[in-house]
Amino acid sequence: MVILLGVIDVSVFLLRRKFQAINESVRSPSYSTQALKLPEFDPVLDAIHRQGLYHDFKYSGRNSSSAVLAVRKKEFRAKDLLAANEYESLYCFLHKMRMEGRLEDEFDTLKSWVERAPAEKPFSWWQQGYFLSYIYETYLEPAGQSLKNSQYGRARWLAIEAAKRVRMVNMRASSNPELRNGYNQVLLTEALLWQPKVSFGHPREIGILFDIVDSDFDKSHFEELSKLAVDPDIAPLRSYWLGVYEFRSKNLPAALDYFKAASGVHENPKLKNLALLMQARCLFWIQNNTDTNSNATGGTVPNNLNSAATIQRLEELMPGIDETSYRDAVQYYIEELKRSRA
Amino acid sequence: MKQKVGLFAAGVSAALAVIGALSPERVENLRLDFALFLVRQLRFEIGIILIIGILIAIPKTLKTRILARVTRNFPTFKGRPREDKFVFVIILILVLFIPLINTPFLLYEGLRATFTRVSFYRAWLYSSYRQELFREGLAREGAGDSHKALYYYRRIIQFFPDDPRNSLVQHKIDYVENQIKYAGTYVERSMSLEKRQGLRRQSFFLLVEGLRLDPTNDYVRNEVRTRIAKLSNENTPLEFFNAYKSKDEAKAQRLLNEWGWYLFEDDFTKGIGVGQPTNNPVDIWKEYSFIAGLTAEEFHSAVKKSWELENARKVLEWSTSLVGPNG
Repeated sequence: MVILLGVIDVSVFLLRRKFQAINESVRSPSYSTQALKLPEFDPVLDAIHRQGLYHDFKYSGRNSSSAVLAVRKKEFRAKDLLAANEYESLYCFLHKMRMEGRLEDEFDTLKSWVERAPAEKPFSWWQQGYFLSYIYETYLEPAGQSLKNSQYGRARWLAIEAAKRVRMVNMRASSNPELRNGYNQVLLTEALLWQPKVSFGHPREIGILFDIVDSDFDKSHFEELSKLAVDPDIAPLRSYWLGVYEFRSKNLPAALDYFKAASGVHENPKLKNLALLMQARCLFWIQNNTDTNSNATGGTVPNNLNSAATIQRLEELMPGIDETSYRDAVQYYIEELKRSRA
Repeated sequence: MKQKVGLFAAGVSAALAVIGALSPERVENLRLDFALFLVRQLRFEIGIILIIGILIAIPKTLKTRILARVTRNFPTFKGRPREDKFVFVIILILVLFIPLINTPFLLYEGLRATFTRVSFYRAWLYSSYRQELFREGLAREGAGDSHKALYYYRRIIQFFPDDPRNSLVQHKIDYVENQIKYAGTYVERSMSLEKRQGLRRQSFFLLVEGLRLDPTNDYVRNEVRTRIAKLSNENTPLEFFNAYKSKDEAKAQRLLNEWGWYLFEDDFTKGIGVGQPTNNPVDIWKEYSFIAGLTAEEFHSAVKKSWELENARKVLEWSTSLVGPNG
């Protein structure tokens, strides 16, 4: 009996060992977090690696996603490639393009998806959110990390690529504040990193300004920003950033002054354009608030004289703006003011 | 003794009854259910082990007593009439008739049980082998030997083509194949870039990425090692910075021509004739005025950081550790 029990014990022990080994192999961290085991290297390549390598490029599902099917109907550079394989999602295809360094193809594919014909379904807010998060993860975040690695030329290039893509969709008029903020963040980052030599010469200051944009102008950074040394290279950026703080706290005249100071810079056309647009916004809202107040206090006719002066000032801003979408926005303000005068 | 045997027999039959009654639907506990499944599957083996165990466990004296009792009543035909022998054979045939009829059925049942056993052990063995291959593959992948891992994963698909869990293995194969493919692509692109422009940040990063994705590639490891040795240039940034600060134009110009690619990114040297000595001298004080506000340490650290040498060294160390010190 003792021997029998011994035999049973040994077999149970061996079986338990066997099952434990199988369980351990399934739970093994090497299975689920293989990518994490690779040492960190370069932020841009890390981002590509993180997002791209996990995609199933040999997608064996039944059909491609609806976005892929929609894009296939259009004409663009990488059309043949997209038609040759099934892709789980369009982003999967875009990541593949990025991994292969075919950025122009990636840009073209993204453009053909985003720029829809009027008959098609509009680019919904959640699709815009995905689009924005794609740009943030693939371009903007690595730009910030490149900045920390003193790769100022690369950071500029990434910011420009991000802005080039984000301009495909005008989210400035979106009803979703997060989309608007994300859109502005990309454009501001581009303006901030436009001059790599300024970034090289003032790494600390540019780092602070970048963090402020990244935190969506969190008030905790305001003190740090105010203390920044007024260097001729940094002054326009600092003024713009302070202007945004004032604009957000609805102190429009002060914001207007800051934006005026920021628009004097000629080496940075992106910042200049943004500053001129913000000036136009400040002027419009100052005028609009005056009109609303005078209406509220019983005035029947808005202050036409002031309104005319504002329209004139807005028209004076127009020639300095190069970006079409900004010019359109200023034109819209002018027409709105004219309509309210009529 | 008889009581003990009786109790044991009663216990075994009760246990069998309970096991038979506990169907999977009635058992909530998954582990218990599995144990019951195991007992059901191995009932013959358990029975054989029990019989062998009992035979071994019975004392020798008892064994001889049982044997003596069995053989004592065995009929002998010594001195008996011939008729008795004839009757005995008739009785024997009658007694054995039913078992003889049942023998083919018993044989059939026995064969079925044997085949069931064989298929059960084969499936178990195959399953274990599959697990073993997968585990080996995981271990190789964890150790950075993607090619070996791929070999093991492909063996699974080859041996078990119809296994429903193969999608998981296929995903691993795709992942590792991608890794190897892109490692090769990056190294190729890095080499082509370097051929055209000389060593630059982009080509260096691509080369290290090639090593990171395929760390057992000796050729790439040696290439990375060579580049890192070339880039571990501690003095040039400080020399250039000091020449710039002390307005030593000749030295600054020389350093810029020789090490411009190392000190600055391409954006900073594009279109100003760096690398083309004496043909188009650069107005250093104008073009590089932005470094005037920096300290020597800040400039040095910016140059070093921009090459990401620390991380590249870590990748190289990691790769070397995977293949051993002689790799």
